[in-house]
Amino acid sequence: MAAVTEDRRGGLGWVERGLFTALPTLALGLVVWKLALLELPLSVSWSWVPALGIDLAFRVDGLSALMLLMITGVGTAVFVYAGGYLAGHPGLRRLYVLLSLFMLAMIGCVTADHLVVLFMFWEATSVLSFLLVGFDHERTDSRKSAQQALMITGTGGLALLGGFIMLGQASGTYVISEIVDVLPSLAATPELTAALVLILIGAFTKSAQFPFHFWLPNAMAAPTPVSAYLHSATMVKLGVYLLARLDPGFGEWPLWEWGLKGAGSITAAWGMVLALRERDLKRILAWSTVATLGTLVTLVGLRGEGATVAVGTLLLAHALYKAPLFFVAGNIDHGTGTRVIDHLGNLRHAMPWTAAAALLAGASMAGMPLSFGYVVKDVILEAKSAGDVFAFAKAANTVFGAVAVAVAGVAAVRVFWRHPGVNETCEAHEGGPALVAPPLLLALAGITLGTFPFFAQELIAGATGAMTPDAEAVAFSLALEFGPALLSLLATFAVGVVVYLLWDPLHARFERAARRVGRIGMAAQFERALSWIPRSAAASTRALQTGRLPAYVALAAGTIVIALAAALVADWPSLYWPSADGWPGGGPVGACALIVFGAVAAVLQRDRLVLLLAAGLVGYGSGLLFLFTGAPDVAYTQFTVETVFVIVVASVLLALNRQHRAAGLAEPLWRPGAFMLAVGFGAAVTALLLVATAGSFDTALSQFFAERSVPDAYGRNVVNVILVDFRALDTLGEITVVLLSLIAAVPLLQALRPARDKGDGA
Amino acid sequence: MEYNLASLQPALPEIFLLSAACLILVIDLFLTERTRLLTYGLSLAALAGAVALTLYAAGPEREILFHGSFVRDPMSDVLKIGLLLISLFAFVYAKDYLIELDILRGEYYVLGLFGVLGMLVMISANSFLTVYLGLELLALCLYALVAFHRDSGAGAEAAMKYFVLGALASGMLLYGISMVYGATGQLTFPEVAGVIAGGDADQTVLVFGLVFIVVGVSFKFGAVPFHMWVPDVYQGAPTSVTLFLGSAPKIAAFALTMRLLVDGMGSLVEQWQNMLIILAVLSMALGNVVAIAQSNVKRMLAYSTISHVGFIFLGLLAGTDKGYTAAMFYAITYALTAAGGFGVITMLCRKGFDAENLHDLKGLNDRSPWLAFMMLLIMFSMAGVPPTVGFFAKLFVLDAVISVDMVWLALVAVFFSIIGAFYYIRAVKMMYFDKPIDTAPLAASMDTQVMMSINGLAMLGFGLFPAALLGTCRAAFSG
Repeated sequence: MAAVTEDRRGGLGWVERGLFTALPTLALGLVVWKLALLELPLSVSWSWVPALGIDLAFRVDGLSALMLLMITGVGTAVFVYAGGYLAGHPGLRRLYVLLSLFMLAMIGCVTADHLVVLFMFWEATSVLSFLLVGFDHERTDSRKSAQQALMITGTGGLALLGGFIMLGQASGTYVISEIVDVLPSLAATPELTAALVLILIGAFTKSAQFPFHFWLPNAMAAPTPVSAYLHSATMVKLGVYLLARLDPGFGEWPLWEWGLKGAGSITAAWGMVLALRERDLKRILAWSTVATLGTLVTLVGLRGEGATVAVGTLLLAHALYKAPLFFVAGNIDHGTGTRVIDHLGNLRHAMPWTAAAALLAGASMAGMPLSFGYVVKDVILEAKSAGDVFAFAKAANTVFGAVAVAVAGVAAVRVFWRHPGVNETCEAHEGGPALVAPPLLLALAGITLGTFPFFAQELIAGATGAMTPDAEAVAFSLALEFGPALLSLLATFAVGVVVYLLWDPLHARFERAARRVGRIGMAAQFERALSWIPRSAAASTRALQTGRLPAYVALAAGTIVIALAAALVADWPSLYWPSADGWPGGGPVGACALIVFGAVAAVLQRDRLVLLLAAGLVGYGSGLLFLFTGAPDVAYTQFTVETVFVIVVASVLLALNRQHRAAGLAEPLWRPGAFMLAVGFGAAVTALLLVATAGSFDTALSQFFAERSVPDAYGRNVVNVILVDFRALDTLGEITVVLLSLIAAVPLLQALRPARDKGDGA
Repeated sequence: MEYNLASLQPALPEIFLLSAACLILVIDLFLTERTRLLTYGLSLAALAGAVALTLYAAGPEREILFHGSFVRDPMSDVLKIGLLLISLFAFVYAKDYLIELDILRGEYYVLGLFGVLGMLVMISANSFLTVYLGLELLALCLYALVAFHRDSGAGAEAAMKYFVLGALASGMLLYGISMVYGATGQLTFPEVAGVIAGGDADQTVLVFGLVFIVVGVSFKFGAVPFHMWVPDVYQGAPTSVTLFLGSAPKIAAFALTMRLLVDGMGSLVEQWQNMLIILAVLSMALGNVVAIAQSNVKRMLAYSTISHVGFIFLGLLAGTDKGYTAAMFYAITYALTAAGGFGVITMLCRKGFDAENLHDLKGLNDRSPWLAFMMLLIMFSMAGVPPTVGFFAKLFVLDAVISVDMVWLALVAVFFSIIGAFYYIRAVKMMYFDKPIDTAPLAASMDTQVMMSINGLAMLGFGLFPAALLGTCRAAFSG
């Protein structure tokens, strides 16, 4: 639909932009209103595919409510921002349609209470993000990134489907809220383990966890509103959401716990290290998002209520500071034409409002007191001190915290306050209100919640309560406090400042190291794997699909031989071979000799005409055999068919010969493959016939005809009676067909005559 | 049994279609180039009439005709209606294409109608002979149709290969049938099944017969390793024929398998299950992997067909009603999807230009956003992306397989679907993100556009509301 409604001539008017923006605003209002009025959890369900027990089941609990608020809240900001950012862009309407559909899919995802329904919305977000990332499809890199993102998330999605079906089968229900209840009591079967691994793969690809982390920064080719919405606030959080949703069920599994903690910690640390090697502001932010997602996954994996509270808080805080920072990056790009931090500096004069928004969001990201980020750090610290955290997770979190401070410094301080080495930003200008208001408002919300955390308390409490029922009590202690946490935060902060100050030298060092890693890194492996598939595909096409008919027939015949041999071997003990009762008479033996002679001659001959005659001998030999074994009618038929066949083919060959074409076979006499195939096929069919004729033969038909031929048809020659009496209509039909084929042959013969004359002349 | 007109009622669609095809053949003799479209209209009317008669004759009970060689049951009703409707799509898409290539002759539609008749016979077959009769009627029409563009060397080569391999397959099938007949002494499926279940038949001969029958069925389906004809024939045949060949016969092949293996040899399920597992895995693997290397879109769809056949086999080999339902759903919806996919390609063709390369899809969104969107739905359906119908088809099959404890098979299927998604997505990427190579405007007649819209939106419609079709398929087996 999106493609259809695209307007090629220009952007959208105010009215239409307003209408599109009204969509998320209305949704946000609805969510807030319903949350204020209704008791959670809410659930509705409609029957959809009753045959498979698939219901359109939806359930809104605290966690869903938190996600819903983020989706619609950030969505509103994004819709407003997109109107300003892409004002006058011909594809703006397409973008709005896609964004609206995307928002719908997200809402579906976080409210679905049925695995299949969840999966459908999940895939829809993948596909829509493909179209959104590739929005600027004139550019090669954006097309490539779109494809990469879809390959990875789509692949993960299918793995997820496999996992979901197995999970549903194992637990006997597809309803998520029921599965979570049932799971802890189930035994750890291999099926369930496989389901778990597949679900982890699905969630990790979506949330850009190691080793699938590399697609997210590449997806930054998308326009800024898209990045802000999909790649920081909503879609990439889906993986975390799913993990948090299933955590009460799988939480006690060691594989689950260690999978989450391990992958999450690696991602958190590695993402931040990779952030250091970037110069593009948006990519720096993207890597820090990857690291945040890693932290979230680790927190989901950690046991204990504290961790659960931390998940809820970090989810919300991250949406409130990362989306504004993306907007800031977009504003800078919009105002100066570049996002490379080397060319940026001192922008506070030209872009005061953006600078303010950046400062507020940056403060929250760095975890400064009075920002919501501070509350988050506090909560995470508490979660970590719960005791069961392994050392690597702690270290990863320290790296994460420190580099987060540095990244916040780069995004909020460096580009606005530092004097640039090269001043390329003299033309910088501030965007309109649509560009400035969304980041400011979101960042302000972050600060407000930081100063007065109790505003968010109920929301976080609901979300954590949905993940771990006991966690609600802890969440209520969410408040601004300057306890011992402050000290360790200060330490992190100090390290972060050092990283910030040393950004350029660090960058140089990491760039060198990373280039080496790049060759063996995941992105390179992915590319290599992708290029391997087409190569093997091409190779197997060349090997199997030669276009030559004999090769095809050989493959088919070979397969049949193998199948027959397998059946013979499998049945070997119970096979019943015919007993050799005496020698056959001279007639049959002679006929068989004729057949063998014809077959051997056919194999040895290269001239087509002689080959045909040799093959004809096989037919005549069969006819003789029939004659001697008591089936004269079949024998006559065989003789006739064979004669007609030889004559017709021979006349064609003679005609071809006269045109000097195709006199002999070009193939070599000795071909081991063909020989083995022929011997194998002959042996298999011979064995088969021996076995088949030895078995009991159903004599119902011959008895019937023997008994009925005299009383019904007054004839003693049973074969004659069958042909002209019992099957008289069949015989009539056969005669008709033969006559009709003669009619068809007349024009063919006429057509042949001039061709022959021409052939003579040639 | 006594014959009167009323007792022939279950066979009305076949009788009607046979008479109509003969009549149209004669009428066409008297038409000129300018009035040729009358044949087209009459053929569509014949198909529509057959649909109406099928609905009229439909019912929940099982009716047997012609001394047990013909059966009308709920399964045949559903399959016939699906088959006729999909043939309707194929006929409509063919018209513009044939006009552009200047090969619009009446024989095309008459051959098509006889082919459809053959498939109807296959669906309603209740004995080995009837099945074979239908199969050969279909095959002979298809051989002729593949070679329909007489000036095309590729077409002639394709027809030759198809004929030789098809004849080989028919031979195998007949050989298998003769063995089963030798072992059981019966030709009608219920009686064959009865003898086999009674344990009186020679088991060894039966299994050998089964091997040959499975080989024949695999040839007709195009399952690996009996798939070699598929890419060459798909590529060489005129696109409209490929469209017909690649869509409706899949339903008939499903019916063929159901009748032969399930109705006739149901108690040998353990034996044919193992054979089908090998065929299914090979088909999914080879089809999906090799499709990636294709630059010719017809060949790509040919390999895609092979992989989908693997999925249909997957449902069949579950050996449960759930599995048959899933396979039936898959066969019908895949046939519809394939018709749409090839339909889009025929719409890209014009005088002197036969679109068959993947590159011809480039920039389709710039040339015709609506057509591109339809193709997007079709490609997504083939890849199994929700909420298109292809997703549910795959889901049902996987569910059926897992519920008979063949989890590894489901995992293999998912794995190769992932690889398969690659080339469908590449086609979508080309349509939406690449610059068009060919900028000639796309003109299509109204009927084609309407049918294409119905076809594309059906991908979405059946995906959003799969319950109706699934319920119908299920009802076919619960009786």
